[in-house]
Amino acid sequence: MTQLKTEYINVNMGPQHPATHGVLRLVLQTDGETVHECEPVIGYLHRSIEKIAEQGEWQDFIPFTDRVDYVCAMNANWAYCHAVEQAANFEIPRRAELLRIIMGELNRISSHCVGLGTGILDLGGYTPFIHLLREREFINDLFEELCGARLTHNYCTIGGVSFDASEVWLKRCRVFAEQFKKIIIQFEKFAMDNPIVQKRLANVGVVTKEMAFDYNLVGPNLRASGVAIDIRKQAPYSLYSEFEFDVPVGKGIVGTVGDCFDRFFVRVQEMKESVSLVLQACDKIEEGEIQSKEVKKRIKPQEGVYISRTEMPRGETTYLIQSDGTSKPYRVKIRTGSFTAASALPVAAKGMLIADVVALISSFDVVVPEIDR
Amino acid sequence: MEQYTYTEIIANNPDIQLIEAQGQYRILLKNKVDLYSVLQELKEKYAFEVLSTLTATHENETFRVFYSLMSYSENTEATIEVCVEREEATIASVGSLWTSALWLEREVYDLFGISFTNHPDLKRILMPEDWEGHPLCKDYVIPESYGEIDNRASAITQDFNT
Amino acid sequence: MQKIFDFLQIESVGIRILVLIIMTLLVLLVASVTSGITSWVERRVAGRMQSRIGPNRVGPCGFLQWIADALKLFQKEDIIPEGASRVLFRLAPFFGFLEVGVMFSLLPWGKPDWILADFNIGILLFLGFPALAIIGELMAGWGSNNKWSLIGGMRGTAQIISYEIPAAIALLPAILSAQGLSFKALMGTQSWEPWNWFIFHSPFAFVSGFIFFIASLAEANRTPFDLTEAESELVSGYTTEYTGVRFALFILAEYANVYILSAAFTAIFLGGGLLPAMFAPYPIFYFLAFFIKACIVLLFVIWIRWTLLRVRIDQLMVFCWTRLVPIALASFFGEIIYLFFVHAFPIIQQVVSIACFIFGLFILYYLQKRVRFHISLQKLDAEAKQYWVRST
Repeated sequence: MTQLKTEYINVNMGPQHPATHGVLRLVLQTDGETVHECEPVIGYLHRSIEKIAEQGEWQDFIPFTDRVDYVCAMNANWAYCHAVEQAANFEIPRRAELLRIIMGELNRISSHCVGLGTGILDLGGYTPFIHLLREREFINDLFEELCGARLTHNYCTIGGVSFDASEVWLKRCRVFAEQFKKIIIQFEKFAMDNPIVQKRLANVGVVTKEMAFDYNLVGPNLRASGVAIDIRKQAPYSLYSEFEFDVPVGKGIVGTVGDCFDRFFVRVQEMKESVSLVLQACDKIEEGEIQSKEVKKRIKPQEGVYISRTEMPRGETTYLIQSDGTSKPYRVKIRTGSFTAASALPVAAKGMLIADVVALISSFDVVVPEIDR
Repeated sequence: MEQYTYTEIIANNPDIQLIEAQGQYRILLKNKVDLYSVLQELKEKYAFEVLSTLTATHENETFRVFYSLMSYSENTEATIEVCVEREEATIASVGSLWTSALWLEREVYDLFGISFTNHPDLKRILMPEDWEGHPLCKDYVIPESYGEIDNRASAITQDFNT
Repeated sequence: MQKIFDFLQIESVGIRILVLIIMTLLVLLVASVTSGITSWVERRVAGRMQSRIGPNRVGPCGFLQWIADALKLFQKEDIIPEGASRVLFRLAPFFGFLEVGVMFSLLPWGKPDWILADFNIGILLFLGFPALAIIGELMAGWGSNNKWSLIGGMRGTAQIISYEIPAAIALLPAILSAQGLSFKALMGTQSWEPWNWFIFHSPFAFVSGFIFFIASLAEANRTPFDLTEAESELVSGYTTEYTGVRFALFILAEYANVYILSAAFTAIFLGGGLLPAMFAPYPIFYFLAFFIKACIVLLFVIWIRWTLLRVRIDQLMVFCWTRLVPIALASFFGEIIYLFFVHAFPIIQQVVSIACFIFGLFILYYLQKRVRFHISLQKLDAEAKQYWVRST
């Protein structure tokens, strides 16, 4: 029987689309509902942040790092400050490091709430999304009490943090962490053990280990493919070597290792680890300074090129900093986890239905300002 | 993560220089060292499975291109630096070794103007398709208009005042 | 209708036509009001399930929110895309509305003979008219000149056409034991005691009751089967390009369909508005009994919507053709065999009814245990409360 000559439709999952988590454009070539080719077009949110870095001084760039990934602004600030401190060889006081860890892990929880919530929302579950956002509101309240902002915190400074946390705040943090343990259990029972969720996400968008290395997938995307790599363990920065936590890895519980369900699963387990990290840090914290005394008003790292890595919620973020000895950065390059995840979309999306493409994008937890900077 | 020490690679080739900065080691490939073969050797013999970053900076009349590799199995990281002249800025593409290089090289081409040979799809990635100029170069002049959008400082302040 | 004409003693054709038009408008009005109230119930219930309040500004408990929304939609500018088909785009919303109006005139409202258009093949018409909704969806999807609408329209057509089959087969046991196709006959086999409701009539009737419920959810485009209007995938599916009154008609049709499906399920499987004889002098109680049962089913439909996720189109079709249809057929044949036995030994019917009723009670018990578990996880202990930033 001869093949029927059918044409492919070019469907534009355009810059404005509820499912693409921002202004990401996917040009899909589909045969009915099956995707034949998928090409991401990025750059709609390019704000030339790297060029702006070269105009101001080192510490002027910190608010811009908030906007690189506004969902996890604390981690983004921390990544840049860590890079500059490594280049200029500053010592950070212990209390500042612990506060940074508490903020970073709380923001990891809130970022995963958004990522998981919008993922389930894209599949049609309206209620778990709102439940997770309700928990995120508590985290936002904690942040607002501490640094005045709910979303773009601008909290870390080069050499420490900007505001100190009171005893009552730490107590509130502990109460939240204890309460959140129950919420994660409820979320797991509600959304992860849900047969429809498992049917939608199992065996969809399988990313093998080789593909993950080839495309440089990082963070939970990489760990879901069975690779136990976490920068907090491989190259511990700050005080992470003193903490005890596990690195969750995708095991293919329903379906194969590296499918969409594993990516969701890894994020849920990571939230549990973050809660335990917050509680450990709250136990370890002592009185002390929050800003290093050796940091002058004008920071002048030694001339050279430095690379630093931190583990942001979306993966390992690499900062390449070039300093020419003055107080202005010469070059700041940010390579984020969402950039590599977006580059892996074309090959992961081949042959799946349009509904699965939506699940795939949300399982990669792609946040577009990170891609475009 | 440990820093890779490149001992064997430096021993074989006198044109490769080891640079150290704040505890981080990297190698600088001078003159006509074949970048592709060095990176291929690093990937296949020394198990650097992952290309983490590929970027460039612009200094006077040269571009310095940096490749940052990671090996998860050996838990090491390595950095390779290459200098390219501004006039004929071409480098071999490493897209056939690591597919993550394709988008990174497109970004370097978009923002600096360095062409990569053997790249399957070298076009602008962050800027619009019809943009002129390569923004991250140090001598880039911000254009006065793009299409119908007026970008002159006087025009913008005028709108705010009226 | 004839009863109304006799009641009002109208002979002339002209006035009869006038009365017909007024009755039509009344039916559409009742449909719209029911749709609005259903949307209000949905938004409040959804709010409580999501730890928030829902509409509470416009009127007491936000009860007039739907009027405000309807007025807002009516005063919007009517935008028609340039490439949209001239006839199809404009005509599409009215098919859904038409279907809703027709179904409202086929529904019972309490006592078995309180149906506006009482045909003795009522069930057959009831199963056939959702096809009008299909036409409306297809016309909207195609006529919008938008690929996303087209995909939504195609999905919707496939879905409704496929799920009409299990819905029809699941009703066959009811039709068999009622020995008739009208709602009156169906309500005739049941009586007001819960164990005499048709759903507990036999295990096969139990199964086909659930199959009818699931298939009706799919016909009404409700989650878990709402992928034709899946907002995060298709930007509102076949209604993407519609604004204003046309969009209001689509939404109205959707919510009214929800009420229709709960009313139909109540009438056929849950005993309709039957009450013991002592309520005979007060007809209002019959309406209330029916309405309250239909509202409980409506709450279940809303609950399912806000709890479950969407299934994918191919999973949906596989579910229909490989699971629902065979099970519906099997329960139909089982019911035939069961009815033979009942015909031989009539005492079996009572025993089996009560047994199925007790089984149904067990299921309800396990459901409420799970619900209470979820609610209990939200409680804060007293010590934590004093440090909580905001009161929950």
